Amino acid sequence: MKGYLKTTAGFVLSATMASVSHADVTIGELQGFTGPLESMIGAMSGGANLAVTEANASGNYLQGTINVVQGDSVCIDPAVAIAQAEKMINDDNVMAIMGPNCSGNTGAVITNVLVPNGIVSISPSATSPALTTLEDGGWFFRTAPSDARQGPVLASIAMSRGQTDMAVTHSNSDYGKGLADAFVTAYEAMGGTVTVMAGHDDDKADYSADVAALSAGGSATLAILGYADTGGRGIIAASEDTGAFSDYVFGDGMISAVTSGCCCRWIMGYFTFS
Amino acid sequence: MLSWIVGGLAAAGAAWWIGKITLSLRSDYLAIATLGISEIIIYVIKNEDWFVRGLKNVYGLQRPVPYEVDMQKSEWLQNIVAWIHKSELQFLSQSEQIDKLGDYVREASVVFVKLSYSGLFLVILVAFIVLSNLALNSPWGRKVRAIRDNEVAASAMGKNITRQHLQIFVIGSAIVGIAGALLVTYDGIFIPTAYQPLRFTFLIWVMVIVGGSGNNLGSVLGAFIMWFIWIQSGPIGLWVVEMLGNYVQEGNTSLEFIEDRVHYLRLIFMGSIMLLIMRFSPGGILPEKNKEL
Repeated sequence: MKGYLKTTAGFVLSATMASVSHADVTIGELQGFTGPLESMIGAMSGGANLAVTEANASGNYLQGTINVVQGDSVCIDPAVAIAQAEKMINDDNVMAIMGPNCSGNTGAVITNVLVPNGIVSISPSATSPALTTLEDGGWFFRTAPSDARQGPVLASIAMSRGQTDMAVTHSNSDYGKGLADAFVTAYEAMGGTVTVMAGHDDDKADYSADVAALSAGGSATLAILGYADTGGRGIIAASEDTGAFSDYVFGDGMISAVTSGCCCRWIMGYFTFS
Repeated sequence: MLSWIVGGLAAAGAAWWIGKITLSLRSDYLAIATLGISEIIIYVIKNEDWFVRGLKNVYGLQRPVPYEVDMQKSEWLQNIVAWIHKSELQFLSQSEQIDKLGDYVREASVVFVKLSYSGLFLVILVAFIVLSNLALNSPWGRKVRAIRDNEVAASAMGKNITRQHLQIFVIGSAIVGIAGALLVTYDGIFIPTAYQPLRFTFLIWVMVIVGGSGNNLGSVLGAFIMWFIWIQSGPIGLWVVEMLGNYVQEGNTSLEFIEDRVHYLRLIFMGSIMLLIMRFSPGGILPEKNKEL
């Protein structure tokens, strides 16, 4: 116990000493490189690193060079995300963190790491409305809009395109369910009709039963509010195989090379919102 | 903290019902039946929104230890920290002193909270180890091992096998229930979709096997080792690729290929470490000791 205290104190001391000199600045990139968002992470990580490369190349950054330390948050394992964030702060001495991705992880990292240590972070993809009211002490920012906003905007786009009735399927997760609730409430308030609303589980081999249940409502439009890598792709494939739906509405979790690839091949009338 | 006990009791209660239904089954069939029931429970909870919010996350759970932010504002911690770093602080100017002290107080509060958590969990862990070791060496423990080793013989000696199975199943579930409650307390958040089989069935199972099933300390050691690997395999992967980068020339395409996929090395490392341990010490790191009865 005492040894633990000593090493931790030693750690902390050396970390503080090192942070005094500002020759180099380190930023932590805490993203779900593995896990349900992995195909979207490539673009997010690329974006972050492009900004860092440009800032370094311009030579206008006054603090010196920016280094990036990467860490895998596994996206849905808060214990790992907390451990990685703490490692970044104590070991790598980061001054800010980019990430984490999934909303649950983000909430855990905010309360357990960011606020206590006073480290600022910005998440590219945490969209849960709950993060707006979470006690973050001003240390947390995000670039993706809250689902409480995305839902109504997506609904008004759908209405403006004349999609007055549709089936809605959401990923069985906090993200999918929260977004679907926000979307359906707004959509029905605008006069739209939701024929069927059902969740789908991610990582299933076959979605034809889900698609059959969704198309039983009779609408030709399907809103998929889920993950492009897992359930969303399967739903599209099953729907295209059976010809159940001809028109789609996607939430922001559906943006990926995978969906645009399959959509270009199979689907004519689709749009995404981000 | 009450929730930990409730968690244990709830798990024990569920286990009693499940045990009553399934424990007449044997080995493989038992595993399949319990897996099936656990899936049913998960599906029901997922789809019933009124009950524990269904799929939605629960943020900002109460915690048994003080919040770091409150501690940073508390005077006693500031005084202690100022006293510890007195020799260093006295040479600085007023404003530097305040800055520095702020840093130290922040770190001290984080360390304090981590220490309180580890203290709290250590007490529970030690209590469980002591209890299970006592149980293992008691007449009850001998009975349990006899049933495991030879059910027919134990039954011939007049032991009620089904009753024992149910009892052990319920006790084990209660311990897991308490552990789950501890985990959620530590995370400060409850994420229904995060509890995936890979992480919460497979990894825990591996902890037991690697540490040595049949040895209480082995399971604890296995848990520490596997958790360390689970957390550190990412950084190890990054480090290995960095080292490789020193030995091959710039622009080597196969290295670039690996660099793009460096985060997936994590899973490969997990697997290979497990294979190595299984290959060279099949009984786990601390195998079961065979005691003369």
